[in-house]
Amino acid sequence: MIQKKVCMVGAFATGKTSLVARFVQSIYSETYQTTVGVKIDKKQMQIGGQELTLVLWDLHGEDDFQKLRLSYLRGSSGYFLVADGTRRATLDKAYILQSKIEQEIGAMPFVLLLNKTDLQQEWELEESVITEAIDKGWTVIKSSAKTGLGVEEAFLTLSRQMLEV
Amino acid sequence: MLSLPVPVLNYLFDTTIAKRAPAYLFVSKDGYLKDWGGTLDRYGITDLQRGEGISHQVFFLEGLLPLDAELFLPRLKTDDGLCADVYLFPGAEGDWVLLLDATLDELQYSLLQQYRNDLSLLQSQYVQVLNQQLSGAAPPLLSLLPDGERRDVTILFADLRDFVPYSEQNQPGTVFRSLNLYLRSMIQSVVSETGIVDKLIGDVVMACFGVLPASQAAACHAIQAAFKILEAIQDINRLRRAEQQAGFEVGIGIASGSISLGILGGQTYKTLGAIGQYVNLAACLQRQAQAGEVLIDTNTFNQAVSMQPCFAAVDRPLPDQPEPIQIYSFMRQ
Repeated sequence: MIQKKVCMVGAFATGKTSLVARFVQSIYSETYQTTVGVKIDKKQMQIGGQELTLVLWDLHGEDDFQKLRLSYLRGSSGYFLVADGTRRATLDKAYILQSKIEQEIGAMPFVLLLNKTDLQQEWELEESVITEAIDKGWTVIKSSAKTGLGVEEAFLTLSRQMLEV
Repeated sequence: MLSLPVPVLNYLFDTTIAKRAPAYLFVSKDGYLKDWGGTLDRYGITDLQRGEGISHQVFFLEGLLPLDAELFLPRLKTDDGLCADVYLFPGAEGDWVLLLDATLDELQYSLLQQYRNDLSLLQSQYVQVLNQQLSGAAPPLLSLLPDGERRDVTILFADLRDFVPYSEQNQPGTVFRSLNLYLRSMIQSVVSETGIVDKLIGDVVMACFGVLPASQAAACHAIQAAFKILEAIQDINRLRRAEQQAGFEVGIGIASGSISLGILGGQTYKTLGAIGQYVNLAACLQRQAQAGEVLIDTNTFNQAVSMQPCFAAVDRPLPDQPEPIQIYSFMRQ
């Protein structure tokens, strides 16, 4: 059986923990509870006839006080960059984190998740933002941990990318 | 090698290491479990098989081994009950994985972090709402005439005491992290009492009450916001001092009366503008207030009837004021 480590990376309160909870347990909570350190889960999947276990590292969100610890990413096969579509600054943070990871750990498959699509009225990201990221060769998926939109697709996409490497 | 007497070493072990339920794994360089010990079951690690691959027995080690250097993974949690600081370091014949319980640390840290994040979110929501109000993109919660108007409001000034010397003695990153932490709590206190933060001037917050719709008199809301600020500052100081960091006190001045109110700025930037003698008076009261003190003027005192028992009349010099006025003080115990 193949086992791969995947990290959830992004600014605080972007929905990383909720995305993992939606994917692993099919649950969602409205209550925001901050992650301190890292929470690890696992989930088995079938990809093209192969059995794959994802070991999911849900890292604390980065803010002024809690910087991302790159040691958590050691041994990762891929990662999700998570931004909150209702807070433009979290996408800026995602760009910074992606650059930091690539510089210090190296290139590996990743997917940019623009989360919280259920909050359309508060959405702050223009379509051009998505186009720019796609033009850079990034995989971008809009998601909602609340409704489940794009969540399964995101994990399947990243898994396929990791298995191709 | 540090040379300490055995009783001292025993004491240190009992009071620091032993209390944290130490446990270890020893893994060969090709990834097979060679040995283990300590209270691994406490971390949900059971049914280990010597000579079997480690990453399928202890799944969080996937990808981490073999080591080329030390690695520290603080506050690592799994559904198996693990909440540990994990130290990984290479040895001659394999890699060591040391686990120390971090439950208490995680609990304390998460309380602090939750508080910080909630404040950050509240601040960004507040900025969004205010921007929408000032740009006219949202229904007019904030209704002001385009050319401004005179309105009875209450003005609050709150200043962090001794922050300037601290800013001179510390790195800018440290200074702004600290300042943001305090300002966010002050802003939250203002916003929760229907106030508008009119300006942030360094370590000073200027807020205006009586512009947004409210359930009580503006003076009552302003005083309640001041009390919340004092309480929040105390909470932050408690947490910071536990982390061996400097704490700060706050001095607050509040004045009520008719002032000119309008929207300043142009197409790209708009902000609330408040000008008048009661703005100056509130600023003056704030400068006269001692650390942990709220000073209010006569108008505020008269409007906030239910809060009068909290205040005592005091004599303080108020330079540059056109007429002498009675002022009142609340001092945090």
